[in-house]
Parts: sequence; C-alpha cells; structure tokens
Amino acid sequence: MTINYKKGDTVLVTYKRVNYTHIMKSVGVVFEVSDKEVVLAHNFTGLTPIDTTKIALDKIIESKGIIPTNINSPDDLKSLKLV
Amino acid sequence: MPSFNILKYGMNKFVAIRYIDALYYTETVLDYTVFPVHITVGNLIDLTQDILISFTERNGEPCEGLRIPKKALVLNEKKEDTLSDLSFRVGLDIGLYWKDVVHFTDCQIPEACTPMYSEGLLLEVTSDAYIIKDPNTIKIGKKIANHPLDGKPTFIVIPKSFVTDIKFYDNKL
Repeated sequence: MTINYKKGDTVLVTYKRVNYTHIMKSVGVVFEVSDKEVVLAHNFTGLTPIDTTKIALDKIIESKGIIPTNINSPDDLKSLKLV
Repeated sequence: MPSFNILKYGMNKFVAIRYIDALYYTETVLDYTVFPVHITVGNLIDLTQDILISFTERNGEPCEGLRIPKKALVLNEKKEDTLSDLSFRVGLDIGLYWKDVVHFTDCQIPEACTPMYSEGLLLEVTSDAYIIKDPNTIKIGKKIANHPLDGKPTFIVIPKSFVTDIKFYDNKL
C-alpha cells in the first residue's frame, strides 16, 4: 500500500532494489515527488537537503507516514529507551 | 564486533535531531557568525556513546546514517564550558583534538565518531567555537589521513563542545 506523497511529510518507505534481492527501508522527509519517483531527504541545513535518496515509485512496496520524536532536551534523550 | 547491541536494530524508533558540525572554509576572508543547525530524521539505533541514526536499512541492517557526538546535539540546556579559557592563546599556534560527525554508507557502521586533530594559528575564540587559521587537520585512526581530502582549508571553526584535548606548541604556559 502506498500513500499520496506530499512535500514536507515524514515517511517510511519500503522498496525493492538490485534485481529485487534487497528489501530497503528508508525514512526521510518528502523533498520532491513526480509521477515516476520520490526523493526523500534525510538531513537538512535550513531548507537545503544534505543527504537524499531517490526512489522509483514502481519499486515501492509500502509507504506510511510517521511522526518522529523530537529530541529537544536532555530529558527527551533520557526518555528514549532502546530495546 | 560492533560495540552496540545488534538487537537494537529495527525501524521503530524514529527521531528528529538537531545538531551542529565543524565548518571548513577555503575563502581568504572568514565569514563565520554562528554554527548552522542541521536537522536529521532517522531511526535511532544506539545512544550509548554517541547518537547513531540510520536513514536506510537493507534487509533489516542499517545501511546509511550518521554517528553524531552527543555534544553536537542542539538541546535546550545551558552549555557549560568545561575547557579552560583559551582567549589568551589567540594569535599563537594551537592543536585541538576533537570528535567529528560520521556519515556512514554501505552498511559500514562506524564504531565511534572519528577522532580528529587540527593545528594552526588560533585566530579567535567565540562563545561556542575555536577558529583556526591555515589549519592542518588529520583523521586519527588506523589510517591517518588529511581532512578534507580535496583542497586546503583557510579556516576551520570547531565547536568547543567537540574538543577533547588541547595541545600547546610551547611549554611556557
């Protein structure tokens, strides 16, 4: 299942690569979208993306919107529990 | 074996983090006012020593991401200057050891932030940075390499919070 991509949304995209032998998952902010591909930006300086991933729409298995946890304080950091 | 717990892997802890990084300049006139804040979104893998975030995983394995020193995070807290005041060294040579942010790819997860060493003329000390003119910077590790590889920077601006040790060139102080 895929979603309608909207610039600025944070999404998790599952897609196939390399003759379908690799299942990839990529998280990022929708930076560009066309009828053929979506570009996810993983980090920014201001509005300028630093690292991006371009994904062909026909390789996408699943997409879903996510809401990342903002880390703004030391308490936010302490509250993260990895299991 | 990596120092982090492999069981922590999994696309299930999405975070948005603000951080700063060292700045390199190749211009002859320095145009620095403040560190630009970078924002990254990814899956949190580990925060034991540094912040380890992956953007992309391949067959369940982190493949691309960042290892960021905790002190690079922009948090709503009062930063304490744990290093001694170096303003009296302005105009003299200095060497700084510091930890750099690492961008990893191809599932090659770094076990630590890259230890760096920069030396040159201490041009200025601001509230949050050391500015070195005509710096020589090397990556310290298994293979010592100049950094950056392309072009010789005219200035480097290093966040104070990144610095782990200081080397003076004379023994008078």
